[in-house]
Amino acid sequence: MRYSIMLQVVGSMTLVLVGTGAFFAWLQNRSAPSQTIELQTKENQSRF
Amino acid sequence: MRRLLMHSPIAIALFWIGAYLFLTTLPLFILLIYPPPGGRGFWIEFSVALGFIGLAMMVLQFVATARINRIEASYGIDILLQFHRYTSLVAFFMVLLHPVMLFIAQPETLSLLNFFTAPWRARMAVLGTLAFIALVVTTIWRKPLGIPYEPWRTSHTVLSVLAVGLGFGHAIGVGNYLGLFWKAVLWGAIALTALWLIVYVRLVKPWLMMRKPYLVEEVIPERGNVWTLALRPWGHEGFCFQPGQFAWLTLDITPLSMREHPFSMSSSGDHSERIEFGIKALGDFTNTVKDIKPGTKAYLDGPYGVFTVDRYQDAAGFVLIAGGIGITPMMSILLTAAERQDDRPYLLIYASKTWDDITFRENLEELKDKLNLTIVPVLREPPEEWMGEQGYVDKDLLARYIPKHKGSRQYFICAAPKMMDQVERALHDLDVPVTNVHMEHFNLA
Repeated sequence: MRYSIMLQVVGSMTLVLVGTGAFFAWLQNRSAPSQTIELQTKENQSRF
Repeated sequence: MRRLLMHSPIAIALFWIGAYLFLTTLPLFILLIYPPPGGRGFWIEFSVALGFIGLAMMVLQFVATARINRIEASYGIDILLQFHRYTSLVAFFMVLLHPVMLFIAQPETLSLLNFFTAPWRARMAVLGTLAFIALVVTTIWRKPLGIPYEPWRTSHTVLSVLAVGLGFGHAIGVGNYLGLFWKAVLWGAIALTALWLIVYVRLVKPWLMMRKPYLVEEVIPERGNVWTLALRPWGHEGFCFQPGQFAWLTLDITPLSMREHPFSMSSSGDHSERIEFGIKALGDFTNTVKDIKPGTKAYLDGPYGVFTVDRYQDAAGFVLIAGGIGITPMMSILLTAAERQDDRPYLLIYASKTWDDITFRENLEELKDKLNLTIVPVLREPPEEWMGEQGYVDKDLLARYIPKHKGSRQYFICAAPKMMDQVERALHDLDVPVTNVHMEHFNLA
Protein backbone atom coordinates (compact mmCIF):
# COMPACT_ATOMS: atom_id res chain seq x y z
CA MET A 1 0.00 0.00 0.00
CA ARG A 2 2.65 2.50 1.07
CA TYR A 3 4.85 1.51 -1.84
CA SER A 4 2.02 1.83 -4.34
CA ILE A 5 1.26 5.32 -2.99
CA MET A 6 4.95 6.14 -3.38
CA LEU A 7 4.94 4.76 -6.92
CA GLN A 8 2.09 7.13 -7.77
CA VAL A 9 3.96 10.03 -6.15
CA VAL A 10 7.17 9.23 -8.07
CA GLY A 11 5.10 8.87 -11.28
CA SER A 12 3.59 12.33 -10.75
CA MET A 13 7.02 13.79 -9.94
CA THR A 14 8.37 12.29 -13.16
CA LEU A 15 5.63 14.03 -15.16
CA VAL A 16 6.48 17.33 -13.45
CA LEU A 17 10.20 16.87 -14.20
CA VAL A 18 9.61 15.93 -17.83
CA GLY A 19 7.24 18.90 -18.14
CA THR A 20 9.92 21.13 -16.62
CA GLY A 21 12.44 19.79 -19.13
CA ALA A 22 10.02 20.61 -21.98
CA PHE A 23 9.45 24.09 -20.52
CA PHE A 24 13.21 24.63 -20.36
CA ALA A 25 13.54 23.54 -23.99
CA TRP A 26 10.70 25.83 -25.05
CA LEU A 27 12.22 28.80 -23.20
CA GLN A 28 15.63 28.20 -24.73
CA ASN A 29 14.23 27.57 -28.19
CA ARG A 30 11.91 30.56 -28.40
CA SER A 31 12.57 32.11 -31.77
CA ALA A 32 13.72 35.61 -31.00
CA PRO A 33 13.42 37.86 -34.07
CA SER A 34 16.87 38.02 -35.58
CA GLN A 35 16.55 41.75 -36.19
CA THR A 36 15.96 42.40 -32.49
CA ILE A 37 19.03 40.35 -31.60
CA GLU A 38 21.15 42.27 -34.09
CA LEU A 39 19.88 45.58 -32.73
CA GLN A 40 20.55 44.50 -29.16
CA THR A 41 24.05 43.35 -30.08
CA LYS A 42 24.85 46.67 -31.74
CA GLU A 43 23.41 48.52 -28.75
CA ASN A 44 25.55 46.52 -26.37
CA GLN A 45 28.65 47.08 -28.48
CA SER A 46 28.05 50.82 -28.55
CA ARG A 47 27.89 50.82 -24.72
CA PHE A 48 31.42 49.51 -24.38
CA MET B 1 8.20 18.78 12.80
CA ARG B 2 7.52 15.46 14.51
CA ARG B 3 4.18 16.68 15.89
CA LEU B 4 3.24 17.94 12.44
CA LEU B 5 4.15 14.54 10.98
CA MET B 6 1.91 12.75 13.46
CA HIS B 7 -0.98 15.06 12.71
CA SER B 8 -0.40 15.55 9.00
CA PRO B 9 1.91 13.07 7.26
CA ILE B 10 0.56 14.46 3.99
CA ALA B 11 1.91 17.95 4.83
CA ILE B 12 5.36 16.50 5.48
CA ALA B 13 5.21 14.44 2.28
CA LEU B 14 4.29 17.55 0.28
CA PHE B 15 7.19 19.42 1.87
CA TRP B 16 9.72 16.74 0.91
CA ILE B 17 8.31 16.31 -2.60
CA GLY B 18 8.46 20.10 -3.11
CA ALA B 19 12.04 20.20 -1.79
CA TYR B 20 13.03 17.33 -4.10
CA LEU B 21 11.50 18.97 -7.19
CA PHE B 22 13.05 22.33 -6.27
CA LEU B 23 16.52 20.84 -5.83
CA THR B 24 16.23 18.85 -9.06
CA THR B 25 15.10 21.72 -11.25
CA LEU B 26 16.89 24.72 -9.69
CA PRO B 27 20.32 23.87 -11.18
CA LEU B 28 18.60 23.53 -14.57
CA PHE B 29 17.03 26.97 -14.48
CA ILE B 30 20.28 28.50 -13.26
CA LEU B 31 21.65 27.46 -16.66
CA LEU B 32 19.17 29.87 -18.24
CA ILE B 33 20.90 32.87 -16.64
CA TYR B 34 23.12 34.23 -19.42
CA PRO B 35 22.16 31.27 -21.62
CA PRO B 36 24.09 30.16 -24.67
CA PRO B 37 22.52 31.09 -28.03
CA GLY B 38 19.39 29.05 -28.76
CA GLY B 39 18.04 27.93 -32.09
CA ARG B 40 19.28 24.33 -31.89
CA GLY B 41 15.72 23.06 -31.99
CA PHE B 42 13.24 22.02 -29.32
CA TRP B 43 14.12 18.32 -29.22
CA ILE B 44 17.83 18.90 -28.76
CA GLU B 45 17.20 21.36 -25.93
CA PHE B 46 14.67 18.94 -24.42
CA SER B 47 17.18 16.09 -24.57
CA VAL B 48 19.80 18.31 -22.88
CA ALA B 49 17.30 19.29 -20.17
CA LEU B 50 16.55 15.61 -19.46
CA GLY B 51 20.28 14.94 -19.24
CA PHE B 52 20.75 17.69 -16.65
CA ILE B 53 17.65 16.63 -14.68
CA GLY B 54 18.93 13.02 -14.71
CA LEU B 55 22.32 14.18 -13.43
CA ALA B 56 20.73 16.26 -10.64
CA MET B 57 18.57 13.26 -9.66
CA MET B 58 21.66 11.05 -9.56
CA VAL B 59 23.32 13.50 -7.16
CA LEU B 60 20.22 13.51 -4.93
CA GLN B 61 20.45 9.70 -4.67
CA PHE B 62 23.56 10.23 -2.58
CA VAL B 63 21.55 12.42 -0.19
CA ALA B 64 18.76 9.84 0.10
CA THR B 65 21.17 7.06 1.04
CA ALA B 66 23.48 9.06 3.33
CA ARG B 67 21.54 8.06 6.47
CA ILE B 68 20.92 11.72 7.31
CA ASN B 69 18.91 11.60 10.52
CA ARG B 70 16.71 14.61 9.79
CA ILE B 71 15.53 13.17 6.47
CA GLU B 72 15.33 9.60 7.75
CA ALA B 73 13.31 10.68 10.83
CA SER B 74 10.36 11.69 8.66
CA TYR B 75 9.52 8.33 7.15
CA GLY B 76 12.14 5.72 8.00
CA ILE B 77 15.05 4.26 6.14
CA ASP B 78 13.06 1.58 4.29
CA ILE B 79 10.72 4.16 2.75
CA LEU B 80 13.71 6.31 1.88
CA LEU B 81 15.49 3.39 0.19
CA GLN B 82 12.35 2.50 -1.77
CA PHE B 83 12.16 6.12 -2.90
CA HIS B 84 15.83 5.81 -3.88
CA ARG B 85 15.03 2.72 -5.99
CA TYR B 86 12.09 4.33 -7.81
CA THR B 87 13.76 7.68 -8.46
CA SER B 88 16.98 5.95 -9.59
CA LEU B 89 14.96 4.26 -12.32
CA VAL B 90 13.43 7.59 -13.34
CA ALA B 91 16.93 9.15 -13.48
CA PHE B 92 18.12 6.14 -15.47
CA PHE B 93 15.43 6.57 -18.12
CA MET B 94 16.08 10.33 -18.32
CA VAL B 95 19.79 9.68 -18.83
CA LEU B 96 18.98 7.11 -21.54
CA LEU B 97 16.42 9.36 -23.23
CA HIS B 98 18.99 12.16 -23.48
CA PRO B 99 21.17 10.48 -26.17
CA VAL B 100 18.24 8.66 -27.81
CA MET B 101 16.46 11.98 -28.49
CA LEU B 102 19.72 13.48 -29.70
CA PHE B 103 20.33 10.59 -32.12
CA ILE B 104 16.81 10.91 -33.54
CA ALA B 105 16.94 14.71 -33.86
CA GLN B 106 20.49 14.75 -35.25
CA PRO B 107 21.34 11.31 -36.72
CA GLU B 108 24.92 12.42 -37.50
CA THR B 109 25.60 12.45 -33.71
CA LEU B 110 25.46 8.63 -33.84
CA SER B 111 29.12 8.79 -34.88
CA LEU B 112 29.87 9.88 -31.28
CA LEU B 113 29.28 6.27 -30.26
CA ASN B 114 32.48 5.25 -32.05
CA PHE B 115 34.70 5.08 -28.99
CA PHE B 116 37.96 5.31 -30.94
CA THR B 117 37.16 8.42 -32.96
CA ALA B 118 34.83 10.21 -30.56
CA PRO B 119 36.06 13.16 -28.46
CA TRP B 120 36.61 12.65 -24.73
CA ARG B 121 33.33 14.36 -23.81
CA ALA B 122 31.42 11.70 -25.76
CA ARG B 123 33.60 8.88 -24.39
CA MET B 124 32.80 10.05 -20.86
CA ALA B 125 29.08 10.04 -21.70
CA VAL B 126 29.31 6.46 -23.03
CA LEU B 127 31.34 5.23 -20.06
CA GLY B 128 29.08 7.04 -17.57
CA THR B 129 25.96 5.54 -19.17
CA LEU B 130 27.54 2.06 -19.14
CA ALA B 131 28.37 2.50 -15.45
CA PHE B 132 24.74 3.51 -14.80
CA ILE B 133 23.44 0.50 -16.77
CA ALA B 134 25.74 -1.82 -14.77
CA LEU B 135 24.54 -0.14 -11.56
CA VAL B 136 20.87 -0.74 -12.36
CA VAL B 137 21.35 -4.29 -13.69
CA THR B 138 23.47 -5.48 -10.74
CA THR B 139 20.95 -3.99 -8.30
CA ILE B 140 17.68 -5.22 -9.80
CA TRP B 141 19.02 -8.68 -10.64
CA ARG B 142 21.57 -9.02 -7.82
CA LYS B 143 20.11 -12.27 -6.50
CA PRO B 144 19.52 -14.01 -9.89
CA LEU B 145 23.08 -12.99 -10.86
CA GLY B 146 24.35 -14.53 -7.61
CA ILE B 147 26.19 -11.39 -6.45
CA PRO B 148 26.81 -11.52 -2.68
CA TYR B 149 25.68 -8.49 -0.66
CA GLU B 150 29.09 -7.13 0.33
CA PRO B 151 30.78 -7.09 -3.12
CA TRP B 152 27.55 -5.65 -4.50
CA ARG B 153 27.67 -2.78 -1.99
CA THR B 154 31.26 -1.99 -2.92
CA SER B 155 30.52 -2.08 -6.65
CA HIS B 156 27.35 0.00 -6.08
CA THR B 157 29.45 2.75 -4.50
CA VAL B 158 32.16 2.65 -7.19
CA LEU B 159 29.69 2.56 -10.10
CA SER B 160 27.55 5.39 -8.70
CA VAL B 161 30.59 7.64 -8.24
CA LEU B 162 31.73 6.76 -11.78
CA ALA B 163 28.29 7.45 -13.27
CA VAL B 164 27.98 10.88 -11.63
CA GLY B 165 31.64 11.82 -12.17
CA LEU B 166 31.63 10.88 -15.85
CA GLY B 167 28.20 12.50 -16.38
CA PHE B 168 29.52 15.72 -14.89
CA GLY B 169 32.73 15.45 -16.93
CA HIS B 170 30.61 15.03 -20.06
CA ALA B 171 28.56 18.18 -19.28
CA ILE B 172 31.72 20.20 -18.63
CA GLY B 173 33.33 18.77 -21.79
CA VAL B 174 30.38 19.75 -24.00
CA GLY B 175 30.52 23.18 -22.37
CA ASN B 176 27.42 24.59 -24.06
CA TYR B 177 25.52 25.30 -20.86
CA LEU B 178 28.46 25.01 -18.47
CA GLY B 179 30.73 27.19 -20.60
CA LEU B 180 30.64 30.06 -18.09
CA PHE B 181 33.09 29.54 -15.23
CA TRP B 182 30.61 30.20 -12.41
CA LYS B 183 28.12 27.70 -13.85
CA ALA B 184 30.81 25.03 -14.03
CA VAL B 185 31.76 25.85 -10.42
CA LEU B 186 28.13 25.60 -9.29
CA TRP B 187 27.57 22.23 -10.94
CA GLY B 188 31.01 21.12 -9.75
CA ALA B 189 29.97 21.98 -6.18
CA ILE B 190 26.83 19.85 -6.63
CA ALA B 191 28.90 16.88 -7.85
CA LEU B 192 31.41 17.38 -5.01
CA THR B 193 28.54 17.34 -2.48
CA ALA B 194 27.61 13.89 -3.74
CA LEU B 195 31.23 12.78 -3.44
CA TRP B 196 31.50 14.20 0.07
CA LEU B 197 28.33 12.37 1.16
CA ILE B 198 29.68 9.04 -0.02
CA VAL B 199 33.07 9.75 1.59
CA TYR B 200 31.21 10.63 4.81
CA VAL B 201 29.09 7.46 4.83
CA ARG B 202 31.84 5.08 3.74
CA LEU B 203 34.93 6.60 5.46
CA VAL B 204 34.23 9.37 7.99
CA LYS B 205 31.30 7.73 9.75
CA PRO B 206 33.04 4.33 10.02
CA TRP B 207 36.13 6.10 11.39
CA LEU B 208 33.95 7.74 14.06
CA MET B 209 32.42 4.32 14.80
CA MET B 210 35.89 2.83 15.34
CA ARG B 211 36.32 5.17 18.28
CA LYS B 212 33.28 3.62 19.97
CA PRO B 213 33.71 -0.15 19.85
CA TYR B 214 31.54 -2.80 21.51
CA LEU B 215 32.41 -6.26 22.78
CA VAL B 216 30.26 -9.34 22.29
CA GLU B 217 29.17 -10.37 25.78
CA GLU B 218 26.98 -13.38 25.02
CA VAL B 219 25.48 -15.30 22.14
CA ILE B 220 22.28 -16.91 23.42
CA PRO B 221 20.36 -19.53 21.42
CA GLU B 222 16.61 -18.82 21.16
CA ARG B 223 13.68 -20.74 19.73
CA GLY B 224 13.15 -20.67 15.94
CA ASN B 225 16.85 -20.77 14.90
CA VAL B 226 17.34 -17.29 16.35
CA TRP B 227 20.37 -16.07 18.29
CA THR B 228 20.47 -13.19 20.71
CA LEU B 229 23.71 -11.27 20.30
CA ALA B 230 24.43 -9.19 23.41
CA LEU B 231 26.93 -6.32 23.12
CA ARG B 232 28.51 -4.16 25.79
CA PRO B 233 30.01 -0.74 25.00
CA TRP B 234 33.77 -0.66 25.52
CA GLY B 235 35.23 2.61 26.79
CA HIS B 236 32.10 4.67 26.19
CA GLU B 237 28.48 4.81 27.33
CA GLY B 238 26.76 3.21 24.34
CA PHE B 239 23.43 4.63 23.28
CA CYS B 240 19.80 4.58 24.36
CA PHE B 241 17.25 4.11 21.61
CA GLN B 242 13.54 4.22 20.95
CA PRO B 243 12.20 0.66 21.22
CA GLY B 244 11.67 -0.81 17.75
CA GLN B 245 14.67 0.93 16.16
CA PHE B 246 17.59 -0.81 14.48
CA ALA B 247 21.33 -0.33 14.00
CA TRP B 248 23.93 -1.33 11.40
CA LEU B 249 26.20 -3.96 12.90
CA THR B 250 29.80 -4.74 11.89
CA LEU B 251 31.51 -7.70 13.54
CA ASP B 252 35.14 -8.65 14.01
CA ILE B 253 36.47 -6.48 11.20
CA THR B 254 36.95 -2.77 10.78
CA PRO B 255 33.82 -0.81 9.89
CA LEU B 256 35.70 0.59 6.89
CA SER B 257 34.92 -2.67 5.13
CA MET B 258 31.47 -3.06 3.67
CA ARG B 259 30.31 -5.86 5.96
CA GLU B 260 27.67 -4.06 7.94
CA HIS B 261 24.16 -5.42 8.34
CA PRO B 262 20.97 -3.89 9.72
CA PHE B 263 19.39 -5.58 12.77
CA SER B 264 16.63 -4.58 15.18
CA MET B 265 17.49 -4.30 18.83
CA SER B 266 15.54 -6.72 21.03
CA SER B 267 16.54 -5.30 24.43
CA SER B 268 15.08 -2.40 26.38
CA GLY B 269 15.72 0.95 24.73
CA ASP B 270 16.55 2.54 28.07
CA HIS B 271 19.61 0.37 28.82
CA SER B 272 22.64 1.62 26.93
CA GLU B 273 25.03 -0.61 28.89
CA ARG B 274 23.83 -3.78 27.14
CA ILE B 275 22.35 -3.81 23.67
CA GLU B 276 20.85 -7.04 22.32
CA PHE B 277 19.96 -8.07 18.78
CA GLY B 278 17.73 -10.97 17.74
CA ILE B 279 19.29 -12.54 14.64
CA LYS B 280 17.79 -15.42 12.65
CA ALA B 281 20.21 -17.71 10.82
CA LEU B 282 18.99 -17.09 7.26
CA GLY B 283 21.96 -16.04 5.12
CA ASP B 284 25.75 -15.97 4.70
CA PHE B 285 26.36 -13.63 7.60
CA THR B 286 23.54 -14.60 9.95
CA ASN B 287 24.51 -18.29 9.76
CA THR B 288 27.87 -17.40 11.34
CA VAL B 289 26.39 -15.53 14.33
CA LYS B 290 26.15 -18.69 16.45
CA ASP B 291 29.94 -19.19 16.16
CA ILE B 292 30.86 -15.70 17.37
CA LYS B 293 33.03 -15.87 20.49
CA PRO B 294 32.41 -13.59 23.49
CA GLY B 295 34.98 -10.79 23.47
CA THR B 296 34.73 -10.28 19.69
CA LYS B 297 34.88 -6.61 18.75
CA ALA B 298 31.78 -5.06 17.15
CA TYR B 299 30.78 -1.65 15.83
CA LEU B 300 27.33 -0.07 15.69
CA ASP B 301 25.91 2.70 13.52
CA GLY B 302 22.59 3.75 14.92
CA PRO B 303 19.98 3.95 16.19
CA TYR B 304 17.83 4.38 13.10
CA GLY B 305 14.19 3.90 12.21
CA VAL B 306 10.75 5.34 12.87
CA PHE B 307 9.20 1.96 13.70
CA THR B 308 8.74 2.86 17.34
CA VAL B 309 5.86 3.43 19.76
CA ASP B 310 7.75 6.40 21.25
CA ARG B 311 6.53 8.57 18.38
CA TYR B 312 2.91 7.99 19.43
CA GLN B 313 2.76 9.05 23.07
CA ASP B 314 -0.92 9.94 22.80
CA ALA B 315 -2.05 6.53 21.47
CA ALA B 316 -4.60 4.70 23.63
CA GLY B 317 -2.85 1.38 22.97
CA PHE B 318 -0.91 -0.63 20.44
CA VAL B 319 -1.48 -3.61 18.16
CA LEU B 320 1.76 -5.41 17.29
CA ILE B 321 1.66 -7.93 14.45
CA ALA B 322 4.80 -10.02 14.03
CA GLY B 323 5.83 -12.95 11.88
CA GLY B 324 8.91 -15.06 12.68
CA ILE B 325 11.98 -12.93 13.35
CA GLY B 326 9.75 -9.84 13.11
CA ILE B 327 9.23 -10.36 16.85
CA THR B 328 12.62 -8.71 17.55
CA PRO B 329 11.53 -5.03 17.53
CA MET B 330 8.25 -6.04 19.23
CA MET B 331 10.24 -7.63 22.04
CA SER B 332 12.12 -4.37 22.54
CA ILE B 333 8.85 -2.41 22.49
CA LEU B 334 7.24 -4.70 25.09
CA LEU B 335 10.30 -4.91 27.36
CA THR B 336 10.70 -1.15 27.40
CA ALA B 337 6.97 -0.63 28.02
CA ALA B 338 7.12 -3.07 30.98
CA GLU B 339 10.10 -1.26 32.47
CA ARG B 340 8.39 2.10 32.04
CA GLN B 341 5.26 0.64 33.70
CA ASP B 342 3.14 1.58 30.70
CA ASP B 343 -0.50 0.84 31.60
CA ARG B 344 -1.88 1.00 28.04
CA PRO B 345 -3.17 -2.19 26.38
CA TYR B 346 -0.83 -4.08 24.06
CA LEU B 347 -2.11 -6.75 21.67
CA LEU B 348 0.56 -8.99 20.12
CA ILE B 349 -0.48 -11.18 17.18
CA TYR B 350 2.50 -13.41 16.51
CA ALA B 351 2.67 -15.82 13.56
CA SER B 352 5.11 -18.75 13.76
CA LYS B 353 5.52 -22.04 11.99
CA THR B 354 5.21 -24.33 15.02
CA TRP B 355 4.72 -24.02 18.77
CA ASP B 356 8.41 -24.71 19.37
CA ASP B 357 9.42 -22.03 16.87
CA ILE B 358 7.91 -19.17 18.88
CA THR B 359 10.97 -17.04 19.54
CA PHE B 360 11.09 -15.45 23.03
CA ARG B 361 8.03 -17.54 24.02
CA GLU B 362 8.92 -17.75 27.71
CA ASN B 363 10.02 -14.09 27.90
CA LEU B 364 6.72 -12.99 26.36
CA GLU B 365 4.75 -15.06 28.89
CA GLU B 366 6.64 -13.35 31.72
CA LEU B 367 5.80 -9.93 30.28
CA LYS B 368 2.08 -10.67 30.60
CA ASP B 369 2.47 -10.26 34.39
CA LYS B 370 4.05 -6.82 34.02
CA LEU B 371 1.98 -5.35 31.19
CA ASN B 372 -1.61 -5.16 29.97
CA LEU B 373 -0.56 -7.60 27.24
CA THR B 374 -2.68 -10.00 25.20
CA ILE B 375 -0.74 -12.51 23.08
CA VAL B 376 -2.37 -14.29 20.15
CA PRO B 377 -0.02 -16.95 18.75
CA VAL B 378 -0.90 -18.00 15.19
CA LEU B 379 0.62 -21.31 14.10
CA ARG B 380 0.98 -22.52 10.52
CA GLU B 381 1.67 -26.09 11.64
CA PRO B 382 -0.12 -26.42 15.00
CA PRO B 383 0.08 -29.54 17.20
CA GLU B 384 -3.00 -31.80 17.26
CA GLU B 385 -4.27 -30.56 20.61
CA TRP B 386 -3.89 -26.87 19.59
CA MET B 387 -6.96 -24.80 20.41
CA GLY B 388 -5.59 -21.40 19.38
CA GLU B 389 -5.40 -19.56 16.07
CA GLN B 390 -3.85 -21.30 13.09
CA GLY B 391 -3.11 -20.58 9.44
CA TYR B 392 -2.35 -17.03 8.36
CA VAL B 393 -2.99 -13.60 9.82
CA ASP B 394 -5.89 -12.57 7.62
CA LYS B 395 -8.80 -10.17 7.73
CA ASP B 396 -11.11 -12.51 9.68
CA LEU B 397 -8.49 -13.23 12.31
CA LEU B 398 -7.66 -9.56 12.75
CA ALA B 399 -11.35 -8.64 12.97
CA ARG B 400 -11.70 -10.98 15.97
CA TYR B 401 -8.99 -9.23 18.01
CA ILE B 402 -8.50 -5.59 17.07
CA PRO B 403 -10.63 -3.14 19.07
CA LYS B 404 -13.93 -1.74 17.88
CA HIS B 405 -12.59 1.82 17.83
CA LYS B 406 -9.82 1.04 15.37
CA GLY B 407 -8.40 4.54 15.14
CA SER B 408 -7.65 4.54 18.87
CA ARG B 409 -4.67 2.21 18.37
CA GLN B 410 -1.39 2.40 16.50
CA TYR B 411 -0.57 -0.74 14.47
CA PHE B 412 2.97 -2.03 13.99
CA ILE B 413 3.72 -4.82 11.50
CA CYS B 414 7.08 -6.58 11.16
CA ALA B 415 7.26 -9.82 9.20
CA ALA B 416 8.25 -11.27 5.84
CA PRO B 417 7.35 -8.83 3.01
CA LYS B 418 4.46 -11.00 1.75
CA MET B 419 2.83 -11.24 5.19
CA MET B 420 3.30 -7.51 5.77
CA ASP B 421 1.54 -6.68 2.51
CA GLN B 422 -1.34 -9.05 3.31
CA VAL B 423 -1.78 -7.71 6.85
CA GLU B 424 -1.58 -4.11 5.65
CA ARG B 425 -4.28 -4.80 3.05
CA ALA B 426 -6.45 -6.60 5.62
CA LEU B 427 -6.15 -3.68 8.08
CA HIS B 428 -7.09 -1.30 5.27
CA ASP B 429 -10.16 -3.45 4.49
CA LEU B 430 -11.08 -3.29 8.17
CA ASP B 431 -11.08 0.54 7.99
CA VAL B 432 -7.97 1.04 10.07
CA PRO B 433 -6.71 4.55 9.16
CA VAL B 434 -3.68 4.24 6.88
CA THR B 435 -1.74 6.74 9.03
CA ASN B 436 -2.09 4.42 12.05
CA VAL B 437 -0.29 1.52 10.32
CA HIS B 438 3.49 1.35 10.61
CA MET B 439 5.79 -1.17 8.98
CA GLU B 440 9.49 -1.84 8.79
CA HIS B 441 10.81 -3.54 5.69
CA PHE B 442 14.11 -5.27 6.20
CA ASN B 443 14.94 -5.87 2.58
CA LEU B 444 17.35 -2.93 2.57
CA ALA B 445 19.84 -4.43 0.13
